[in-house]
Amino acid sequence: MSKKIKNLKPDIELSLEEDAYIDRLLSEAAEADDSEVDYAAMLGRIKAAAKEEGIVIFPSRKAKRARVMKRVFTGIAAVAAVFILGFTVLTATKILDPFAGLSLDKTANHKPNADEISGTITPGDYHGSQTAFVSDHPKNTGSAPDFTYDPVIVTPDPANTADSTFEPVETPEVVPTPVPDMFASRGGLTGYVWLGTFLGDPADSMLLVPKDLPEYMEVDISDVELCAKAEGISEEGVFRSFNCRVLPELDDEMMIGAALFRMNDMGLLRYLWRVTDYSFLEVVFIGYTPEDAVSLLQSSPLIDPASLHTDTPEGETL
Amino acid sequence: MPERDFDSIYENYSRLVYWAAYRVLSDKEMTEDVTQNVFMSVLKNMDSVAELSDAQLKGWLYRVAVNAALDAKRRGGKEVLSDEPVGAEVADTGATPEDEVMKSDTRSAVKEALAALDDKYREPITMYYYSGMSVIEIADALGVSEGTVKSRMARGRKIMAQRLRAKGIEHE
Repeated sequence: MSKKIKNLKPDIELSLEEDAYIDRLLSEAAEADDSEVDYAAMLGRIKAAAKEEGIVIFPSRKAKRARVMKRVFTGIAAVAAVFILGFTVLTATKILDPFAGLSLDKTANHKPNADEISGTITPGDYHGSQTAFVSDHPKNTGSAPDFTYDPVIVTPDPANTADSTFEPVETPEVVPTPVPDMFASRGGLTGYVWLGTFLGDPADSMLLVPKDLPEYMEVDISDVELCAKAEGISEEGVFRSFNCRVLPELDDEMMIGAALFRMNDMGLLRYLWRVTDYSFLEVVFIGYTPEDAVSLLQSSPLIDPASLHTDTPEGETL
Repeated sequence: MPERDFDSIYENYSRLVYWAAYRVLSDKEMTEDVTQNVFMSVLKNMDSVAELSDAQLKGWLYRVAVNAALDAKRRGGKEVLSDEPVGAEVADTGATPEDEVMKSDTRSAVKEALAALDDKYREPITMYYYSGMSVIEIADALGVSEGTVKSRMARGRKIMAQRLRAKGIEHE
């Protein structure tokens, strides 16, 4: 580089046109040079390096929202499909008679003494106990599905009730999945949580146990646990249980949640994914209040996969 | 507080970081390494970064990039100034080969003229044209007044005009 040129003094004044010309040349040169920089490739290398160092890169809120909405719609569709299928099967096999206790008389449901006449349980009598389970999420409070649940009351089987205090078993129903309430994280440790919520007899084969992980989870399937949280009422009283199994073990154990219930128990069964190292994943809680969601994550210790063969004792309180 | 995550930070400021480092290093490979290191720092300090205003973040990134580049230069022992264009290839823009050659020659001459400038003129010009910083931001980053930035840029452009004119490149 010529020192002479480098030390040139601007001994002339530039006209506006000349100044604009230099300005344009500089702009064009900068733009052309910049277009040759592969920023996307650099970003890829940065993310790879971050992953190697165990640094969590939180996705953009926009991407999060899109993914959550996708999950919500997928979840709602899956739940609806399960409900329809189950209802159809149960109706076809006459396990359920959705019209039991109903009369062609449109006023029959509103007769206060209907049970005295038919010997069956009047649907309205069970609103209290049903909503006690359905509405533990605030968003469900106003949506106790009368139109769905009212008619679906099954008269206890006389064979089972002869010498026991058998409670009417509610038919398997799907509680409408509320919109995700929040994203939560525990410091740098976060996990993606999927939840399906069911109400009814968990011994039914309708339990939904999804085994396909979301693409972006980017974790080995052996690092993922499927957890089931059960809350309900047994003959002994209220119980709450939480149980996890590492996913590969579930091939023949689709009924992980059922183990948390016993015959004639009633309650809610919720499933969730949990990643053993809680890394690189976001938390999406569906079906929990924010407080419950945070509490759940914080209260459930990381499980050593090697110890997963031992179930949490039934009835353990969270 | 602006909505800010790593991807948006990278999208908005990668150009600033890259060219701030390139101004020091004039080496594509080293500049990419420095850019990566700077954004790794961002990742490690996301909590703090999220608290900064846009102007503060820009200033912080610029300082980190320049310091990282100076550090890399010390360790790498590279020359600061280089007449070698960033990219030798001619992009396919639909223009005739003759046009492209002329453009490429002009571009090389512009870069050469820029590289030949004294630091105090080259720095604000590079920050303005390459890093996309405003005069105010440059003044903040360099710790000088806006007037000083403007006069240095004007003076730098005049010197460049002379240099280019000597090569037969001038406004017609």
